[in-house]
Amino acid sequence: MSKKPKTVSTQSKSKQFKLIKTVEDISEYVLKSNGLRVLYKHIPGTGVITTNLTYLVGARDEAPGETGVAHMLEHMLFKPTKQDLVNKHDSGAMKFEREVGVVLNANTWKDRTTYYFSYDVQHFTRALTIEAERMRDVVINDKEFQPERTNVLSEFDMYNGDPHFALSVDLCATAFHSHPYGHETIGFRNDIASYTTEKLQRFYNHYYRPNNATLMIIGDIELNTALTEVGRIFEHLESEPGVEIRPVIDEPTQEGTRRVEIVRPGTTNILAFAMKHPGFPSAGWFETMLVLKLLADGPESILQKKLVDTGLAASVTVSQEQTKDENIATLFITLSSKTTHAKIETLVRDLVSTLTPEYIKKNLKNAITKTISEEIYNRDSSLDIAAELTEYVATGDWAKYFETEKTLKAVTIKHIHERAKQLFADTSLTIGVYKSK
Amino acid sequence: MNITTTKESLFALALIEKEGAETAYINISVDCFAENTAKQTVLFVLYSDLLQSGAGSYTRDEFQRACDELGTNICVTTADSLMNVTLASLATKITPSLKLLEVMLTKPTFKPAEFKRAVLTLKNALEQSRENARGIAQTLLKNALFEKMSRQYGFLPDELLAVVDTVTLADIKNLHRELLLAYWTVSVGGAKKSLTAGTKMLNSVKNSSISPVPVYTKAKTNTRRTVVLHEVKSKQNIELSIGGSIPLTLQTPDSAAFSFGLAVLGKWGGFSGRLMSTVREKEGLTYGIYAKTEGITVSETGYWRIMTFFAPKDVAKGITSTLREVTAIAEKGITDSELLRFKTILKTSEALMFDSLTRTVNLVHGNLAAGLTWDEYQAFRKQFQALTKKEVNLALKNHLDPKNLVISAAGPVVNVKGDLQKFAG
Repeated sequence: MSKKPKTVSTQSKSKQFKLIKTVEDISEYVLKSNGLRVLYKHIPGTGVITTNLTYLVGARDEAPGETGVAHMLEHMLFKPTKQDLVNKHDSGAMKFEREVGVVLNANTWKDRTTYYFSYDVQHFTRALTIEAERMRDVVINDKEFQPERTNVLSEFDMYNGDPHFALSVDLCATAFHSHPYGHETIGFRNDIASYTTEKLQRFYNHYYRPNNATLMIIGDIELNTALTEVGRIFEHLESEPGVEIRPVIDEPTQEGTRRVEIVRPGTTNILAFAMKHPGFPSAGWFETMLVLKLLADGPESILQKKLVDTGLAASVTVSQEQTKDENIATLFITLSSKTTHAKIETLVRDLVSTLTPEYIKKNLKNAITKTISEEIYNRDSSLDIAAELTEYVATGDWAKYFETEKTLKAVTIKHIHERAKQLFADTSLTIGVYKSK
Repeated sequence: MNITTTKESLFALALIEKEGAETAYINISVDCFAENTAKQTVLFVLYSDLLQSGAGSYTRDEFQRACDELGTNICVTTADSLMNVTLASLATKITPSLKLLEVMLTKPTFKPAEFKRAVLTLKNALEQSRENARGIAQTLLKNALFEKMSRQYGFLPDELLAVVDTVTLADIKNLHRELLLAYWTVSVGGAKKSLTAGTKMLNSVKNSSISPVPVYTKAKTNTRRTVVLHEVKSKQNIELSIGGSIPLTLQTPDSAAFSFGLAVLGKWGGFSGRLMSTVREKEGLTYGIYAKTEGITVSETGYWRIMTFFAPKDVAKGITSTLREVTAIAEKGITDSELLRFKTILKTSEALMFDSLTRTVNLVHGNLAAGLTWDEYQAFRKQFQALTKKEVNLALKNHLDPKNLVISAAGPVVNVKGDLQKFAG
């Protein structure tokens, strides 16, 4: 994927760390005292560092009635810590941005929650100190929680006003009977409106532990300087013995096409095909991506030509998440006023059958080349590299970050043909209808 | 990164050199503004589609396949009568990528069948955009601030739909001739070899130019607070654009001071602005609330705008809080501590930009298209560091008038219409 990196020393002088492995220009270490993982990549000469702390906790770890709690907790990590209250100032993270202008944010997904800062090298110690303090010491009380809850409800309403999102929520819930991927990360509105600080605190106490976290350090800092500071700042934090146990959930076999319908005021009409596919970053995940590209990505794709260019649809889009377990990818077709959901469903099923070996042979190589190039464009800055690496960390094997090109180049015409058949089989499909009244 | 900009007779050129860059980027912007009509807006959108729909011996599909084969992205977009062409290529593929760009710019085929397709797809897209509450709120804000002749004045989806069929293929071909003749702004980013190849292609394509047509912006003379409402019943939140026109260009003496003050009020992105720390963080009324100036160049004036959204039940409370913050900063100004903090914040945000080649290319290009060379932009940014509290507060007092602004709201407004109208002066 990238040019062969220059050889760099991966030997840390720090006795606090053990080197786990080095792949290309990224090395993984573990802090012996508490199990914190550290990924280090040196980008000299930029004057910029991105630190990214990813916890293996996300929407999948939520029980019924508490959906969205992982995301809510993410918001609370921007509230004051015990140390901030002693020092009588705003939350350390907010203060960092408001004094210095660093880039900071966080996001929660199905398998993980991620916090990041991008900043001038001189602020490295400060960034680490904030992450260490808020890993264990955020004060979760109603004074801070109640206004933040309404912000999250505002965020929910922002997403929910989008018909595609609303349909996605129902598609997930219909496609999965047992697996917790059956709810969107932000959760259900009623759950957000009802959970308590006690629930947040329990979640926080259990999952926000060094042995459930990976700290990525990407940028203009020497290895020994970086590890020495990480050791000094994180060493005292306690690990949690039970945190690494995440239940394996085997979704029951689907026995026929599932359907869901939403009716709302407005003018938008959407037909969606949600298809079950293997988890990221398996070959099956990339095959699914390539099938979706051939079907709906770019003006030369099958559905763009047959639905959008003919005026039957206003747009055709796809979504596919980088999740560890089997999940759904969704093909959304926004209908024009000239047609109906039923007609488009029949037409799409017919068009999928035009994804023949001959068609695939003609177009697969370009789809792969395009995907590999997109990967390179996406690795444009320390912030972008950390963001992409995060998805690999969340699935348990960051080293696969370097295998994307190899995986893609191994995909054959037969793989794509078979994958397309599996995606559109009755044992995979959930069909969503969004109607306006 | 090594950045140089020059204003040549045929084009303004920025070269952003990053040693060893694996990728290369070219941005071309051309100002084709002649008159502000719905027809011209539609013409520009159709043209941006058709320019990518066949060139030389390539059909639309063949051209796209040729790009995909190289892993190259070529994209044409339009906004406010500016045509923007972008190319992203791997450094190793820059020569064939540039050949594709060249043929697209010099030999577009503009086939009738593609024209028919572009019209059809545009009509469908416009029908869908009736539910784009955020975009509609901004358009209606601009329309309440500017006369129709101004570039900033926009058109709603139904106004555009009404004129789609009046555009002809001859109009498209005329626009293309104008585009080739107009003055271009071009930025090339990447390794040295990519810059050389990009410049060479540019010189072969661009061999003549006419002087840019003077562009006029005419703000309306509003004298009281105005409320504009638009119902989009499918949305959950009410989208708001709140703002006013400002008689400032990038060369006006208090332009930097006003931008600085507006950043203190609601710096776009992040959490550092006053609006984010009060309306969002303390009061919990919205997920995001930001402020900035828009449409301002070296020669054109523009407007300032707050972008936010509230739940219908909170909208009156949210607007009250927002106006409270606008009034406070306009009347009392910023503090000494904010002056120091935001000098640091603005300095940092620029330093972080250089971590990314694409963001740097976009920054340099955006400023060059607005009329600022890199040296001029740096001089503009230096003004931020030299500003005094008095200068910032005077600029805010002069140009931020809470009693004479426009509140534009789009979303489920019918049931809160009465509450919203109360904000009118």
